[in-house]
Amino acid sequence: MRISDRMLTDTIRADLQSSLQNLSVLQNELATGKRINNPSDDPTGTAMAMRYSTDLSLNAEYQRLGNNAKGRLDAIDSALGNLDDVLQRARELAVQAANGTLSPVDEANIATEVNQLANQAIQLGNTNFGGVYLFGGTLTTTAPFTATGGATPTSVTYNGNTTPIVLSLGQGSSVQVDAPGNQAFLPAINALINLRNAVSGGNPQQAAAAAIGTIDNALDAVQAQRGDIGARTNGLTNLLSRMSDESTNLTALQSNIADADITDVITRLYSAQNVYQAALGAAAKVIQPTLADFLR
Amino acid sequence: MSISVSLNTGVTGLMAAQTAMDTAAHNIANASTDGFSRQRVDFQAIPPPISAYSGMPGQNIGLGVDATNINRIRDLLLDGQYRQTNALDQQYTAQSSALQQLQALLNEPGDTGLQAQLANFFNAFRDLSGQPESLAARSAAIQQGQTLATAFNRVHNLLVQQQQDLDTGVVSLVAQVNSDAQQIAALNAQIKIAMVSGAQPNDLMDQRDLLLDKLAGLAGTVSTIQPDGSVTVTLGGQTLVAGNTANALTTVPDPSNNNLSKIIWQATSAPATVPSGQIAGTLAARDGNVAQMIGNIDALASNLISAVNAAHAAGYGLDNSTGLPFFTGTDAATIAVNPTLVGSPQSLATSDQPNQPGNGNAATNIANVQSALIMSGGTATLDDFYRTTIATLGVATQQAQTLQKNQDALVKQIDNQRQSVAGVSIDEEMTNLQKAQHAYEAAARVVEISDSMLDTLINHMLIP
Repeated sequence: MRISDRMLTDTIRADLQSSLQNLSVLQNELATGKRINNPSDDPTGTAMAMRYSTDLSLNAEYQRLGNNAKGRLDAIDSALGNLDDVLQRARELAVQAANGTLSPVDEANIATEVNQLANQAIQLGNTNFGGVYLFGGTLTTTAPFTATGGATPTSVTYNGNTTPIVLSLGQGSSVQVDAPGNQAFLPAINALINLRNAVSGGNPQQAAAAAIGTIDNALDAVQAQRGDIGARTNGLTNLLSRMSDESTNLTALQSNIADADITDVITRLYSAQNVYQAALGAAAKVIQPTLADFLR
Repeated sequence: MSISVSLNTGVTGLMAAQTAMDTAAHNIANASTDGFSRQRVDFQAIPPPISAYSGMPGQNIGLGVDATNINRIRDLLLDGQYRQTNALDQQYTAQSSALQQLQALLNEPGDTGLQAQLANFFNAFRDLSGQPESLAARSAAIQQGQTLATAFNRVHNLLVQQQQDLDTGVVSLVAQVNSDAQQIAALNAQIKIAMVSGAQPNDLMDQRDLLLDKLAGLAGTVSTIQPDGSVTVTLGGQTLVAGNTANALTTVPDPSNNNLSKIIWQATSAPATVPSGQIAGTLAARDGNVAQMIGNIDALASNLISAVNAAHAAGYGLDNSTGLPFFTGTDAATIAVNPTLVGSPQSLATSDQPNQPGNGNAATNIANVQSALIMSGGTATLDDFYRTTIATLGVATQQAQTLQKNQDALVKQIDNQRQSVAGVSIDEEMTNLQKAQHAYEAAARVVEISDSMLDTLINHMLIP
């Protein structure tokens, strides 16, 4: 085939360009650390990388929600624990009063302490955690318990409701994060008021003995609710642990798809550089001389 | 045969060598000129006059050399092949470049594209479901909504802008077609005049061929050479150039296509079909790939708006507002967060019952729109749909790039063949120059010797 001068220069130009393009792609991969910089680099891979991205962000969000929920459940359990202590103390006092060996002064003291315990129980029932009342159901911005009678409450009203607060944690999992106050706190407060009235009343010994039963019922209710909360917390802990594992897996999968293998890219880059330089050298040799250089 | 005849023969040799040198010089000067075909002189021996054939030996000697023609060396078949192949190459290049722009615009996979914005939006509502009483969480959710809406607006505007730019490109390319066609018509006229007078207008024909190459690359035109030396150019079966006349194209807004430009023949207002070339590629990108992407993004936005609004309107705010839409607008261009909510975050619906501040079920419902099957006739989620759109774009771009690369190789191969036939080789021309130089020197000697012989005859014979 006859070769014209332009054929030579055009071919050299095209080949150098193609070499440079190859270099440019490899440099970009190295600079971004990503194998997929455009959907056209790997369309299927792009779809998978995007999916992993979404899954990872969901996973992170649910972990956050889960941890917040766990904090809330812990606060609930702590308040219930305190309530349990309160009731245990009240029971001790009730047993003392039922003994019948106390003087009126002692009985008055017991009444005062039980009154304090009752007020404490009311305060516990109105626990506010991060701006939210824990024991009012979904009526979280109103104090669940209001007492009539000031410092010596005669009765208490539960202002909350029993609608559960359920948080969705993805893939069908959910967790209830509330504990309605009428399950444990209401009977507990009423039992305490009842005990105080019993000890301050006409027949303290007998009334106190009868009040022990009410307190025991209240204690059962508290323990039942605590058990429920405990079960939820366990489930949540397991779920959070699974989510953490899942996150590790997803991150690895995503990296496999989307990240560049740096060693591989560097090797290919060196190889491409060598090719380019060889092409430049060859071009220099070929492009210069014509017959005119050799004619006298 | 008289000496004066030999003198004359020598002179024809001189003139022929001169012509050969001029041609070689012309070729060398144009070794790098685009579209130049090397030229070669046709030499013919001048035969003796008929009356000289008298049967006597030594009488039928020719009278020298005549440069009958300067031809350009060119293969018309290769020209046709090149134009066809290049037209496709330009088409694929235009489309591939538009698709790459589209990819860059959407910027996926990445942390700032629509996919990430959608994820952030729904996550904000998940956060909200756990703390619906919190003013901070409410404001955050509203703000994420605004960020998402702005992202949609931006993508939509960029896409429309790209469509507009492609449209402007089409208009300017059509103007180029018109300009080239007119120049070809003018050259047709000039070439015809030259040929009628017997000359071979090689350089004019080279110019015309270059314009024909360019025109084919723009619009996939087909050219045929007529017996009278003019070239007829057809575009999609219609005549663009015939003889000295060029039929003009023009662009008008097409109301059935968002007032983007439609190409028509100026004289008849009939639509012009452009079979290939850069114009065809640009139109395919404008009306195909970009228009489709705009449609997809709008569908994404509009389904997002209706689903989120339905979930939101069914819920209650902290102030018991209900029935409010979260988003205003209907598509990616107009989507925005309801200004009522922006001014009053208490009205953002989080509860599915009135008067229950701790109830976050409506917020959960809004977050669950992310996994609801509301796209593609109820078979895909928002994320699925968007992912598929991006993957499809990736495949289309990959294909276009491959087509372009393959076509580039084809064009290069055919161009090489053309160059092989028509290209100037400086080595060859130098050799020709050498030949012509020797021929000139020899012919000059012939003239000198003839002159000396004449001188002897006239001045030195029969002198006493």
